[in-house]
Amino acid sequence: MKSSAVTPEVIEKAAQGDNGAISTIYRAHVQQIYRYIAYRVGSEEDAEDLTAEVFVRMVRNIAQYQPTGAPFEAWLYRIAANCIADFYRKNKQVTQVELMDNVISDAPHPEQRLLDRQEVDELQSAIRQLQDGEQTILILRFVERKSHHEVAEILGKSISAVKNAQHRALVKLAALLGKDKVRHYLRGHDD
Amino acid sequence: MTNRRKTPEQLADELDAMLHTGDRRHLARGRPARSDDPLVKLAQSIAEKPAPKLSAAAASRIEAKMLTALKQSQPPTTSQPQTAPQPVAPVKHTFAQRHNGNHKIIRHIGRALTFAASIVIMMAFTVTMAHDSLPGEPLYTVKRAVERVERGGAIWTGNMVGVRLNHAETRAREAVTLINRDQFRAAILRDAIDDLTAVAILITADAPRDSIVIGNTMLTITAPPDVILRTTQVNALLDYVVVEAQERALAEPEQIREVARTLSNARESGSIFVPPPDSVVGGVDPADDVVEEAPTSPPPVEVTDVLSPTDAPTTAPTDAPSATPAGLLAFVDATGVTNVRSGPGTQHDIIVRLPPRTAITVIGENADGSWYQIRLEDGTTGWIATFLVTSGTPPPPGQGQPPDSPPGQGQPPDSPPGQAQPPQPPGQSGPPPGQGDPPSSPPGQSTPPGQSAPPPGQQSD
Repeated sequence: MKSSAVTPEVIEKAAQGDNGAISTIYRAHVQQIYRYIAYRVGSEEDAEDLTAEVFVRMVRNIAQYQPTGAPFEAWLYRIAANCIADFYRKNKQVTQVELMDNVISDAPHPEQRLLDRQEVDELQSAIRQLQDGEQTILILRFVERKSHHEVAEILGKSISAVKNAQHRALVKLAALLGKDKVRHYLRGHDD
Repeated sequence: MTNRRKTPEQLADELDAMLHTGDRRHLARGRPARSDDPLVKLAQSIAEKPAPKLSAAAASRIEAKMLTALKQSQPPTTSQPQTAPQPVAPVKHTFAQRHNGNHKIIRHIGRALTFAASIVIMMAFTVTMAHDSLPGEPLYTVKRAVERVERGGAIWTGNMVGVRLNHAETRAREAVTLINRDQFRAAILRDAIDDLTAVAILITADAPRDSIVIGNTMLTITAPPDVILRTTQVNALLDYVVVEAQERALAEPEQIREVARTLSNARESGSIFVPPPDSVVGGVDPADDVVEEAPTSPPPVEVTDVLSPTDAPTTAPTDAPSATPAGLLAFVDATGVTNVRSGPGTQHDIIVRLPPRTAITVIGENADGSWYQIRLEDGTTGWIATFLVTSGTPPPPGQGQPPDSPPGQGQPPDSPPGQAQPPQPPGQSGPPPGQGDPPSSPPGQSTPPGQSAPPPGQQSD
């Protein structure tokens, strides 16, 4: 279900406690919120718990939701970011758990799937070492395929701020992954 | 090819061109990116990696959890959809709210626990108040109910003897208190006799080891010294109650006689036991038996054969001796060597050790009546536990009363008929209560009300 199904009317009904409207919102956004959280925390169980917490907070607070011109999902991402922050505050020693069971791979062969998984783990682990805002931008941009404009709306920032943060995040991520070409690039050397 | 560092704006343009934002399909098909920029390639690799996906089962679980939270945050009636939204719960949730939304259950459990705690406190208060209640008072029923519970619990703890002995003592003291209020309740005495009977049965059920006297028969049983002492106390209290009731005519004579008969029959049949004073040491090997004085209350010892006037104590006792009994002829009634100490208590030094049947003179008594101050024939004074003392003169060996006979089974040979004598339960060989002899003093307490100790200096011979 596309998020376009979440119209202002649906949100208004949901604010009045309409179960159907709330379910509509939930189904429209649950997967993207889960992906965002899964990238950020790295554990299937934690991601599921935190996703549930996001939507529980949503139903408890949706009556107070005030449309600001930003998409509704921006509010959900903000709740999710708060939940993740709470999670890391309470679990300072969280280990990076692999997302093996959650990864849906299109690779036909098990060997290829294993390689994909290793790459995914490496990539996600590196993303989690970035700052919160940088992680969010990368996930929204390259996992959710949001445009700069959409990301700017969600984050409440200007487009140029998003572009700068995106650039900074990718440079950091490349450094963390340690790829040779990236190092050359970062040094500004000619090949 | 040249890879120069791009500005954020340039990078953004290339990324937009690479991503074709919103169109996942060409990425899934692996269309080659047109840029060789490593950052663009990195972004492309993020976009091409399989993303985590929530399973349908997990999505259903979360939805159910969310709808449960929605239900809990709503008021009971939903018939007014147009009204202003209800205030939502604060974002900071309790532990219970975060975990399965069980806060209502926990609240109910909390209330139930509070209620239960209140009940327990009230019960404890009531039980405490009932502890000192007497027959006929409102809380006496509670007291007896608690005792029934104690008996049930004693089955598990294995302390049935102690519990029944406690109850027997409680009944006896209730009877004494009632007597002091000029009341007599035969049922209380019967209950005490029942408890004593239970004690005797329970003790005889144990493996035989030590010898004591049960009723008029010798039986080999196991009985701890404290049980014997306390049993003796209860017997003395019952005697006191019966005698007082008869003397003061507190009930129909026939009713009192019937209780006296019951008590007497129980003792004669051995269903309750009346140990002699020396039964405490009956099981001690005579070869090494230096008798240590028991710290608890002694059995009743009625000292009436006074041969010498009161003498002032020559030692300095820690407890001020009372005036009674003083100057009374008595003898050490124990099978082993008995310690005479410098003060009333086993913490005091041993002055001298006396063999059995040594004649002594009782010249004083400590506050609770558990120790006598005595004087020996050579003038030495000291303290000796009262339960090791019997009034009168010592019987000659092999003649008259054996040293381990219980009191009340005959008088010392030199005690003329009609004189006061050691305590005798009703129905035994002594004269019946109410025939001029004051009842024996209940042990472990001061002289009972209405009964005065022999005046100092009284002589029977």
